[in-house]
Amino acid sequence: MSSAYQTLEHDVPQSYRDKILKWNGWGYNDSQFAINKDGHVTFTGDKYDISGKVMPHFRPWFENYLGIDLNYVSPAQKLSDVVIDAPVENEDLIDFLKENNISFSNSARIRLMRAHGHTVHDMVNLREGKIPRLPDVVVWPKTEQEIVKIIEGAMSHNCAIIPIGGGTSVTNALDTPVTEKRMVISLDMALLDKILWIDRENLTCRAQAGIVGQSLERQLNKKGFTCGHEPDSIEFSTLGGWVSTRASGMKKNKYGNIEDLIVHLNFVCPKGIIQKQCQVPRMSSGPDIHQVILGSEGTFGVVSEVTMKIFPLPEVKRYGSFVFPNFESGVNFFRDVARRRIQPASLRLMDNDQFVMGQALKVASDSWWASLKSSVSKMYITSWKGFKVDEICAATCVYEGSREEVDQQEERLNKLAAEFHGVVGGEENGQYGYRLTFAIAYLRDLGMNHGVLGESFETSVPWDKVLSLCRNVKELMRREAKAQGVKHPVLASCRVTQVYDAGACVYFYFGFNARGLADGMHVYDRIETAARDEIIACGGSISHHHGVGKIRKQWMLTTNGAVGIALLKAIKSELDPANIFANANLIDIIGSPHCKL
Amino acid sequence: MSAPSQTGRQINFPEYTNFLDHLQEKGGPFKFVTAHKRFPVGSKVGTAPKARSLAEIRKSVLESPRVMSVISEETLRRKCAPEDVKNEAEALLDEMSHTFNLLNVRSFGYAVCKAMEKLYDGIFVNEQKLLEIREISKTNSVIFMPSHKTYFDFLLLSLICFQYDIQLPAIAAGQDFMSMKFMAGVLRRSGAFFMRRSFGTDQLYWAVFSEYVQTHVVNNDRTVEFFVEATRSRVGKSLHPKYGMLQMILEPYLRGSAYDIVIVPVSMNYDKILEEKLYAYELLGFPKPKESTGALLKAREILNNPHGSCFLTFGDPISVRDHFGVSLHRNTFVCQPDSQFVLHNQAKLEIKKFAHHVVELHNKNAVITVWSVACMVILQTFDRDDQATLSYSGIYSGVEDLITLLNQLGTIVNIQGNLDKNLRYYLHMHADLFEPFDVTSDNFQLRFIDFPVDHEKQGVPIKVMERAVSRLILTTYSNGMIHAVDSEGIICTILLHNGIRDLAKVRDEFCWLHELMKREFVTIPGELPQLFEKSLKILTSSGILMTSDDGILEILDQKKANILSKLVSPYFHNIEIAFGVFSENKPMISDLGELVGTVQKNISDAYQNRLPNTRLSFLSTEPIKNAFAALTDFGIFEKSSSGMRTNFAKLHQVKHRLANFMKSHDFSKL
Repeated sequence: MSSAYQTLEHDVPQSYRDKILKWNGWGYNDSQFAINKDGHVTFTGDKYDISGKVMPHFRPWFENYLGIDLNYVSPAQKLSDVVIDAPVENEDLIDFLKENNISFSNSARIRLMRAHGHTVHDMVNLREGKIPRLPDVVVWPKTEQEIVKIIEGAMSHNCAIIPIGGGTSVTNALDTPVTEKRMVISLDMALLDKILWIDRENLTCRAQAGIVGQSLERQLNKKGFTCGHEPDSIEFSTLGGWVSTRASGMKKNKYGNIEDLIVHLNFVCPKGIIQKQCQVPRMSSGPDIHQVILGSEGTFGVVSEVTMKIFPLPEVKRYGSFVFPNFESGVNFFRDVARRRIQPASLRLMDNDQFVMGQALKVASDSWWASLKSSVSKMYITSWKGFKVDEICAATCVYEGSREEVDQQEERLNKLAAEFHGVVGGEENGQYGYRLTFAIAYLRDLGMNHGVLGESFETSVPWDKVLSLCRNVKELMRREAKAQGVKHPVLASCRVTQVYDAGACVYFYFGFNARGLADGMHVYDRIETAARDEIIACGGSISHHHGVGKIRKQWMLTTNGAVGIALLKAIKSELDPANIFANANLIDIIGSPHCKL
Repeated sequence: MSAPSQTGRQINFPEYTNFLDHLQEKGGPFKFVTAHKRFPVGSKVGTAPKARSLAEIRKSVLESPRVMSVISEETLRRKCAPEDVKNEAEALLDEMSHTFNLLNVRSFGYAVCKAMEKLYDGIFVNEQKLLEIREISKTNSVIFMPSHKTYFDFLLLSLICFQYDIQLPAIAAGQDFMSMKFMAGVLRRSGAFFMRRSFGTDQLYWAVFSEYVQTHVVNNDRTVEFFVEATRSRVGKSLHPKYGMLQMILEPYLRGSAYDIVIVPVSMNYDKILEEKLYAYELLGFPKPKESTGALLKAREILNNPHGSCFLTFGDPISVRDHFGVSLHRNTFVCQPDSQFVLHNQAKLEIKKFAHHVVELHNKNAVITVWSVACMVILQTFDRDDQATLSYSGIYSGVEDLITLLNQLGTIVNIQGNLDKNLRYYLHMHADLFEPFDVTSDNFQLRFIDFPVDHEKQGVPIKVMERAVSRLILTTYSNGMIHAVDSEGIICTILLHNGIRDLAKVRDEFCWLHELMKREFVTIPGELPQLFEKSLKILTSSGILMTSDDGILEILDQKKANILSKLVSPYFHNIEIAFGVFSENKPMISDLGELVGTVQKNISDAYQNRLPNTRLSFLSTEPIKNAFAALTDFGIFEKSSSGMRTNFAKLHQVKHRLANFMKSHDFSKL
């Protein structure tokens, strides 16, 4: 990495972000999919179940489903070759930080690590060495008071602030607007990572907003509790990030989404600190101020501390799985589960493409599908039950509770599944499905090494429109890819990941081999935009839990209406009149440099 | 291949192939209908292809959220048992459903093929489009929207689908067929389903029928066919479209249950329409013979007369997704549950425009025959002298001149071989209109025969009626070319008669006249200014008009402008007479029926008094009804509890404005 400016630093902390995370891909440095010397796909490192294992079925899948030639590689640029521009200077601010003994650094790598999230754009830029506008200095507050100080400094010395939690955003929320002329401070919450107290009487816990999910959960588990919130990004995302994006957890059926889990929080903004006077389960005191903060995506200020509910660790946690003849039966089953309100902690349905992909990712020893091929159960599924291999799909679930509760839930669900032609698939397959979730995030990096561009995105949709939305969006991605000149088969797949009383959350996976296209990213963008338009046209939402960031701003007006947007703008101008929190997420503020009006 | 801006088609191989030749090659009708077929199995997007049984289709309708929801609503409203309503829904479904069965299609097809062979010299189709449609139909619902001039339309279309291995359409047919017990059964088994003419507020019927139609669209079981004009046009030109069925068909796309729907406009043109005489009687106001199997069988003698050719031109398939992509935002519908889907007004307007657009495509792709031009020429000859004797050479030169002018305007008239041969071919084919003549001699005289009429009608003498029949038939055929010149004719009429020259004012008058005539000449609502620009461009590029820099229109070719004006002016004279009667009537009328007879009598009187600009064909009830409907649109007939009240002030304004274009200058002497 080369940069031609003098590094200014003070009391720089040792951070996991700079030590053990990839600089241009997902997750830990040591963990990735790779091709071994026998030409098989394997997973490196020692952090996951599949680490060190070989997946003999994956290569054929990869080659057939996406038209990949593994001999063709599109290597990423080396970190040493990346050129980083000098930051915007602001001596006054640097002096202010020093005076107040606040940790900071403007070293090139530290800035780079906090300049992006994990959209396909972010990754392509890093891999190709196209470095966008970076924040100019990174600061690490150690206390809430220091956050207040930093905001003060930013206001007096004409700077902008972009807070960062785990950095797992997939909405370009962390990107620094290119038009921003002020010095941009990246407010890294990494040092605010402590649990402040646990209240066993009320079953609540107060923690600092920078605490990473897995650390919070591990500490709570040790004491016999769980926070119940388990987003797929839990390894890296933070409590503050969950609040500011309105995150959703896998087990929301039992514990609720982040908005259901929060009892109290502190929010620091340029006008001061927002904080309720009491910590109560519910109150009627006008519109709930928490709802203004939830999903504000760093545009008004930053979350500093949160009190959330905790729960005693369940006696039993058990996985389950079902196989359905087709996606429609699966969705109908889910709808009925929601109607009867018998959803277990988590319930997910994958379509045929994902089912097949999941089977392909099985490690040599326990490939269920492979063993099914010759076994009685395969006979049972395909011949006896008449399931077709190219229509079959699978559901996985997690039961949590007392043994009695779990037994009961399981029995009820198994019975209902049978009514929808479902076949019970066993606990092992259920557990496998959830483990896979963590691995899948690494998969895109392997794809990118071989010319694949891919992304996942999600939405929420009423029950009566689930099937048509899934069908149409997948079809649109396939047709649009073809129309845009993509020569190879396209991965267009979806899963239903949450059930609600009134609808569901649907997750799409989209990937294609961009080899041979003049501008693969342009093609990708057109398809993703068309897919979101289609989602909205079919009755889906702008996002279920990823948020808006900058990537989905164009749909905010249709989503909330002109008056709704005016209200958000009014809140912004009241809380942050000088636009210090200038990440430009959600909406464009008139008068700010990135506004097109 | 014809350029996109052209109107009319020339029938040439290889663009068009003759189905009857295929039939011969295959070894005749029997071999044709028994041939092994590979119809693509319909599939909806995202699921494997699957042929549904009739029982499955039925089940999907009865178990649809919409039907179930209406059943429970009706149960509450009628205070009866749910089974009663459910049984009624099942009975309705039985009444409307097709019972498609390929074996039956094959046997019925045999009879149809035999008849076609006997009737026609050729059945021409633009084959390439059909191959294209077959491919599309594998993954998209295909909806055929043919023009509608005869019962043969749907028989022919199904036959052609069979030939090209396209799933035979489920055909929306009017319920009046159901009185023909035997035929109704045959048609049902061939894929026709039946809709009531009106089912306004019957919620249950509406729910069952729309689910029935939509289940076909959503699941792409078969192609679907319906007539946007709703009924057969008896007048040889397009009828004002109806929108209900189109809305129903498009709904699955709008609410996302179909990824896309592909519309195929089909222009169906005939050298000789089987029902031509029936239509003429019907238009004169004699009660329409009920469609009975017996009547059809009697029609067998018709089979022994030559009927020339028919021409099926399949238009470019229109993806509804592409067409409405920018004008209709599906996201405005998503707040309503699928089972309670309602279209908002903007959506209805866009769908209306689309219906008109399809009619426009019917016309653009229609084959204009030499016979149609000849009928126009003959009628104009009668305008000069109603007792004129027609000579072949006179008709020939008139036809030749008019074709030359049409070509200049970018309109193609289909001429097979040379014009002389072609014209004689048509005269021979339509010889039943004339007293015997020798079509082979160099020149010959033509005299129309009178067709028998039972009794006189409200003061119109039998003699006049008898003469009128052939005039109505002629008008039906001459109408087959009017869409090519209607707008150009209107512009020339405005310039010649009104003295307006200013471009903007001419445009205003143009739009007003077209609005008034929207049932005679189908145009796209809201797009008249564009139509004006287009027509003006045609007139200027063919050297008939010019526009000066300061926006003044000038006629360069007085003679041609005059001819064009005279092509359309009879349509205006026709409604003008009707307006005259309406304005002299009592202020309250119960319905139009009251007035038709009076208008006909006035026309008959004017004709007998040899008043200028009066044609016998004006006796047709169709333009009278259109005139009435136009005035109703203009708010001149206001509905009240005791009938229709006439707003005479408004009516006089309209009459006055129209009269400006109808001043009886006789420019033919210029």
